[in-house]
Amino acid sequence: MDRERNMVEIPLDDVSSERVEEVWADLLKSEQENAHPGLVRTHTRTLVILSAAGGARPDVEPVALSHPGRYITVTVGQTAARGAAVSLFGASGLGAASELVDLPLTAHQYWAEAVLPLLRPDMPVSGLITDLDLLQGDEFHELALNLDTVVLDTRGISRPSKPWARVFGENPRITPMDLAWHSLQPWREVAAAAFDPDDLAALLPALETVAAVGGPEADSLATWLHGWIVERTDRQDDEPALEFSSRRGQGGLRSVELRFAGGAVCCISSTGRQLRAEVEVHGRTMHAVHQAWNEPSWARLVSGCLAHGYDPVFHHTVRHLVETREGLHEEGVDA
Amino acid sequence: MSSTQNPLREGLTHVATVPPFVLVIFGAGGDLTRRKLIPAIYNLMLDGLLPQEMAIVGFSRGDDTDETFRKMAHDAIEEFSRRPLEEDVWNTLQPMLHFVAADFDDAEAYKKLGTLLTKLDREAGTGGNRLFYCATPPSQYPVIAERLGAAGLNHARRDDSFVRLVVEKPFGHDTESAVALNRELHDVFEEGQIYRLDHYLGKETVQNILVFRFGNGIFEPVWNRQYIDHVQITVAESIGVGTRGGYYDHAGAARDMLQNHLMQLLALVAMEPPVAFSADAVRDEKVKVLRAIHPFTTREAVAESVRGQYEAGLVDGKDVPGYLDEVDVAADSRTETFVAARFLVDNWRWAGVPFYLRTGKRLAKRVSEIAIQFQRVPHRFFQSLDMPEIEPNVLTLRIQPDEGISLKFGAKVPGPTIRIQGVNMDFFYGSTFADQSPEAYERLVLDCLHGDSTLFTRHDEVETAWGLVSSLLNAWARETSPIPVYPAGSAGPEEAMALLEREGRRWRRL
Repeated sequence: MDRERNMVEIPLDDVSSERVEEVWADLLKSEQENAHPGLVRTHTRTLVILSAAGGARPDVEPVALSHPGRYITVTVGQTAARGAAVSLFGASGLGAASELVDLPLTAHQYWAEAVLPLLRPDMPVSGLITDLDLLQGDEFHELALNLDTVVLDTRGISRPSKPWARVFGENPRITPMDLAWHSLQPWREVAAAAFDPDDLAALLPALETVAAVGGPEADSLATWLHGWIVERTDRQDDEPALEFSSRRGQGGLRSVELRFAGGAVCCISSTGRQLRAEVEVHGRTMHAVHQAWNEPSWARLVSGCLAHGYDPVFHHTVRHLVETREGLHEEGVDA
Repeated sequence: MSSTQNPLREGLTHVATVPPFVLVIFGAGGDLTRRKLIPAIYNLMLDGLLPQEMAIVGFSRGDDTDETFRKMAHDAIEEFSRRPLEEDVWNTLQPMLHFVAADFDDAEAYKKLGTLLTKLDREAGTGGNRLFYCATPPSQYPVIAERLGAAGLNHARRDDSFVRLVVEKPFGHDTESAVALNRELHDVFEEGQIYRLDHYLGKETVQNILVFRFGNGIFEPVWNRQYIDHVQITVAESIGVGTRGGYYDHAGAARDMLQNHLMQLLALVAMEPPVAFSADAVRDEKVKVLRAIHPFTTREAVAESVRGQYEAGLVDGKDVPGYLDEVDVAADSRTETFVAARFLVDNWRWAGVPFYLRTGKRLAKRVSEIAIQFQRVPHRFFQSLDMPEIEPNVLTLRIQPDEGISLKFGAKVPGPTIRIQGVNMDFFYGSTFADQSPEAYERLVLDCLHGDSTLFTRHDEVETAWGLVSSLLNAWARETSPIPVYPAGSAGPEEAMALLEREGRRWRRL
């Protein structure tokens, strides 16, 4: 699919929300009049992407391509102030365009002030925070009150409940999404499939240990898997143990073993492009399932997360983790 | 298999894992298998939605073998799959493909099939689950069902396994034959085992009709006779009968399209909200509204319908032959290639609101849409300003092409005086949700394997729809006057225009 980007740079001394809106309107009008008479603006969301200068530049274009909307990328902490890049972006022939703006800000610029006027009243607003340090400070507080959804990426964070405690502390009603959780979807699918037979589902209350093997990202992913199983099996008062066996090498989870009282074991492992789960009782394989698996790109994870929308199972899981690990309850921080 | 006690299932995309299975395709050498079924299976496998314990058995006349069937499947995926063939997925699928070469009425072949299925259960772990798919002409359905029953292949061997039969529309060619077909299938299979597939119901945009109506708060309150003037449902094709002349000449537009696709669209637009999104709740409501459609007397059938046959003409700037000059069409054929009819739904919601349905071949363009025309404003407030009459609001659900929804309303033209112009507010499915949608067959095959029959038609739905269409067919059979004609590339016969014009209405432009 050919992509088209029609961009205008706004010089630093002319950057304002009114000017950004004006440029979007001019670009849309110009495209309608000239290149694309059928161009429309059918948006599904506004996405604010907050990232820190020096980090990897978020590749929002693939996301914008599959979810037309308004994309406001704020890069905080530039050494020198720069102007804004305002563009319309879409696939040629699709007839719809996303509105993109890049706002590079210095550490002294107040980013909440730059973002809030660009939010549209009738579209849900999601905030994608690529650098978790940006959750600190008053500016996030102001933004959080205006967000419907927060998307974090807790892959590689040893204690993923911590940033979520910060988010819920600012806005307890916010809808949580996490790229780490979304990346676990195939693992959860295959784990669930392993326990589809009724006699094996009956094992779940007897889970004693969740043991994970993998690279540096395995800690957070295993924490989420463990939290999910605890929440789904209603074991909040009697949690099975969580063990990490290895942190060598690269990347995320390589395998997870669920051990049950009475000698049953469920092993879920990645084998190239497949995830495989096998349930053994007393050394005998009772059930085996597989699931196609590819390590998804960042953009694909973001797209998948946004397309999936509110996930009550994740909400319950993250709430449980935040309460048990961080002592934050619905009504506020525990004394 | 059951997931009722599995707490890990909640919130996951896949309702449950597809259990191990064997898919037996009768008519495996045909176009449907090549163009739709094999690519659907491949794409489901690519998405990891199918189990490892599965097998596909082609059953067809001819002298194909496992090897030639596999070659055909490989070529079919390369040519018709929506995504390119990936060698590792193909390498997994290939050994799962088997072939039985036999006639559909060969009793011995079904014994051989039974032996193969037992062997696959043992060697491939397919668990005794069978999905028999009739990708054959409908005339073969009873034979296949009867032979499966005679070979004892119609029952599951274990309580936790399944045997299902898929048949494609058309389900019969009139009421009597539909009832007879249902009876013949019911002699061998329970209704719950039979999946009557109308691929239209697998289309995302058709399913979206339910979401649009029942997932939004603003439309349902105006979705009734108080606000709606009339409804137009159009399924127009620009192509002719092509190589299907032999079949089509015995079917015609009413049997081929009106009885199934258009009546299904009418049912989805007019039905009451079901109590749940479950197979029987949805189908109960569809049957209820089909039963509420005013049945035609012979006189009404003639007065409320128009048929037509295309003559030579121009489509997309090219000369195309008339229907009577198509291959395998009788020179004196009276088969209709166009039908339009006016239906009334006699219930509280729709009393007095006409539903105009039309479908045809070799029309000006390919378009499938449902247009809901609302009533005009009750008081002509702007008339004193010497304004022409204000256009009514129209809500259009476009099924293909340019899938989406448009709402037409009046807006003031900028300037010192009040002038009103109709404008369209458009939603395009493809540009708002740019991710590639699965093909209808992928969704429907998956639903069969899961045992979800929501998007399949039930026997009473089929028979009720046939009752309505058969009254038209019976009335036309008594007609001796020449069948109206229309030039290829036009909007249909002039008589169809008159059907609406006599009530002060107009068909939407194609």
